[in-house]
Amino acid sequence: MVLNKVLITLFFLLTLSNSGYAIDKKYLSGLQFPIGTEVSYKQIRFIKSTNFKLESSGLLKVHTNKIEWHQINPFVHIITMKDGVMTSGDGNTSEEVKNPIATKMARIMFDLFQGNFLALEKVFTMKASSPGINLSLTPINKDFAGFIKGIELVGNKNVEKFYLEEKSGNSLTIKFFNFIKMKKLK
Amino acid sequence: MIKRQYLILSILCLLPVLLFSFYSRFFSINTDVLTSLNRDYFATGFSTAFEQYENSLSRDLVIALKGEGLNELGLEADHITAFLDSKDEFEKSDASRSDFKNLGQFYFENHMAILTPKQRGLFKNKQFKTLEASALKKIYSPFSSALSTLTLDPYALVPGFFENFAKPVSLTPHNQYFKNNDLKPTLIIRRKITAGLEESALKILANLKLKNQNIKYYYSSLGLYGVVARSQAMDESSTFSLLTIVLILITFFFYFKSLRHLVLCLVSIVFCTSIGLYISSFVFGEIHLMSLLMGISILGIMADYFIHYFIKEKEEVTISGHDAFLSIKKPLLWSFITSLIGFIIFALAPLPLLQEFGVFSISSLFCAILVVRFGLVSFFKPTKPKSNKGNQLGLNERFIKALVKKNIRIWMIVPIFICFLFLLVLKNTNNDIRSFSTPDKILRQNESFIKNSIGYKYGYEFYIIRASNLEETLELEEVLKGKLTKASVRASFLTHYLPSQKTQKESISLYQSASENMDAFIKKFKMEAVDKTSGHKSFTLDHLKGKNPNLDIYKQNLGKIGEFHYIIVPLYISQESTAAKQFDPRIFEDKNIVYMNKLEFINKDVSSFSLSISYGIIIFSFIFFIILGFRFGVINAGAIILPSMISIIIAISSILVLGVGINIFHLLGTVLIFALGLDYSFFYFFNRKGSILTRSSIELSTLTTISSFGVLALSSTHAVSSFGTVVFIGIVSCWLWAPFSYLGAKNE
Repeated sequence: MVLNKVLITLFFLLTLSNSGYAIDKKYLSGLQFPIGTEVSYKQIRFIKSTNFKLESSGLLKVHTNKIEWHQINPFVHIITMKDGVMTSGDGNTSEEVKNPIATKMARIMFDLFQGNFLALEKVFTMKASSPGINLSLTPINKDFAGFIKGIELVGNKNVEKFYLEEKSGNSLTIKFFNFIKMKKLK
Repeated sequence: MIKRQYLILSILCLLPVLLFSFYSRFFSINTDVLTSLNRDYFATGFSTAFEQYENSLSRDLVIALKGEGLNELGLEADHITAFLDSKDEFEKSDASRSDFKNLGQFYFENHMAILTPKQRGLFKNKQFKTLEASALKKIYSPFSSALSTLTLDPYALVPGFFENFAKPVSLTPHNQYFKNNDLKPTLIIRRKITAGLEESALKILANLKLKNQNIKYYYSSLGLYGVVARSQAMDESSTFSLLTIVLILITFFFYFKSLRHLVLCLVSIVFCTSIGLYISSFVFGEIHLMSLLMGISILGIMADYFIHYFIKEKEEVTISGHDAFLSIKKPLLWSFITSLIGFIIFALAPLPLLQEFGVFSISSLFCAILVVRFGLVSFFKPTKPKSNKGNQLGLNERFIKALVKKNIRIWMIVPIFICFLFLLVLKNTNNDIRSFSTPDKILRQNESFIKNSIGYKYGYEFYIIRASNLEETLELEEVLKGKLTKASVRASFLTHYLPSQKTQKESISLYQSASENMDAFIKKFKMEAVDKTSGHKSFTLDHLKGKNPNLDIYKQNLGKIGEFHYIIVPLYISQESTAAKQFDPRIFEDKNIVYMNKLEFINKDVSSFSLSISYGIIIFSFIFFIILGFRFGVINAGAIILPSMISIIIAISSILVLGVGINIFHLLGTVLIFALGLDYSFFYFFNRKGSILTRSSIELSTLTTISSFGVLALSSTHAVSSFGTVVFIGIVSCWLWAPFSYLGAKNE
């Protein structure tokens, strides 16, 4: 519910700020998946040159001190981010992910989901447009500007879609749903 | 008598015209610097193949457009393409610009059997990363890029899976046709210049009108270098010839003050030159531009012969042309013999341009002797005799006399001369053929920009492979590719694009074995179904040509030459890795794979020849000394040879003092200094009685020779100016020292 309020506020502000204008970051501080929530996702990874779509689905869980990306289909794969350390496993065993790009990428996405826009500001230029919540991020950091063309967050009452487009034409679309079933975690 | 004069004058005037009209159709001027330095280079099957490869590149034209955006470059490229199509100077393109865009995916769209050696290895070892859990995790993870994992996976190439995904060959629009050089996009247009129209093509290219003024254009073609070099050398040879003739005529006019001498000298020079040109082009089938330029120096020597004759006409005792000829016969023949020996050395040199120069000089000078003997004597006209004897010594004579009087040990020059030449042998001479000519600056800058833009790095190193057919050459190239890749040496391989049938069959078999697991794979990982394709098939060069007609690599397939099929593998110049530096390109024991470094080959040849010139002069002077010693006595022989020796030392030392590196053309100049020095010495030696007229004739001929070589020193071609400068200095020195031949001689 808190998220809904935040998103409605944000929508209101974005509408006022007119399309294409840079948003005041103070209004963005509320855009987040609140701690103790769980949301279902369906991901489509599109590889342009193959015209092929790889589908996967699972849950995104936001804990007090960690975020968990829990892929269920086509196979179980759990990625967690805790205190800046990323681990990958299948529920029984896990190992630390040392790839710096993957870690940075995970950090950015979790910052987005947590509404940590102060950190994102160092990496992206952010713009909002109406109607609805439509937030565009363009990378300014050279690590990401080399391969990411842009990121968009789309939604109405809730964040409904995360869209990342690479410069190569490949893209990643994640749709979030089942917010109603979202429950508080212990 | 008058009738005979008219007849001879008609022959002298008409024969050159007739010869020119006859052989002008067959007369060809070669502008290729490399072939001018080594004609025999193309004697073997391998080298014929190499020549064919070079010829295939010679008319290739590349135009690079540099601007702010690819769209505006594209529009300009369309405009230029249409313009070039409307001109006969450029062959119509058989591929449009857009054909290049999907070049990299061609093989996969057509399900062609191509796998890199690395991918074949992965297939063989069943290293299918996409089937491994860790790789799958990365592919599906939103936090990592699937790209790096998939490009390594041979499964990515199986039809119905990641079809068209990976590009196993480094053939992309970016590294072949577009390049973000200094962050500005560059578009490359490729064409072929129509054979024989290179000159007008260059004019069109230099004056291209672009629609968009913000776009810069650069053009480059090997053929254009030839046009610029030809026009530069033609301009120089015509200007220098004219300048030399004018200087000779001015000298004649001021000395003889007679139109008769002027006309006879001019007609004789033209006659002898055209005979020389005819004979040398008959012998060699062509004349090189540099030979023509160096040939200008012969005009001065020819004029010497005419001067000696005309001056003798002034002698009091001369009552007929025949008398005048007889009185100069001895020095004339001796000087011709010395020149002949000098030019025979040139004619026997391994460099074609020197051979041509040698034959041209011998035939022209021989013709000049005949013209004096049978032509000029018929135009004998006694002139008012001047005082033939007296004490009016020339500057050079006073100089030598002072040295002789002071008992300066000039003979010490002999051991110094020998030591000097040996030191010269030991000194490293700069004989890099690339330094002999000065390429056009604009073309060189354009070439540099374009090569950087398209990543073209080929130099002068190549492998040439031969076998009985294309298939076998491809198989041999794959062996070579394996070894070069292992040594980190980069090269352009035909098999990168057209693997041998043997390798293709192996790839198809690997594809098929992988395909069998595909259905289960797709089902397991819930992938979207895609259309089934017909599977992979092997392909041939014809198939490839039909789809992508404009690839450079086709030129590497040289086809059947004699009984063998040849292909060529150009190596990249920059081999910066340690492994590449340690790689010895000559390690291959297979006689059908030959390493060729054109520059190294020719430079080595030139260097060894420059060594033999130094030895040759020592041996030549020794033999000549013995001959003259028998004929005129040891002291007289020494007196005749000494001025030449001193002049060589002075000329070469001056070049060293000027800070210019000694090259083969300086050394060849010493041969001419030796011959011309002996020429002057003979005239002084045979004039021991001290005729002022003989002295004048030597001074006059020195002036004409100096003017012709001095003019060559002005040439922008480094080789020609080196030759001109050293001979110019040497001749001045010869004139200064020549009186020693009689002042130092033992009076009979």
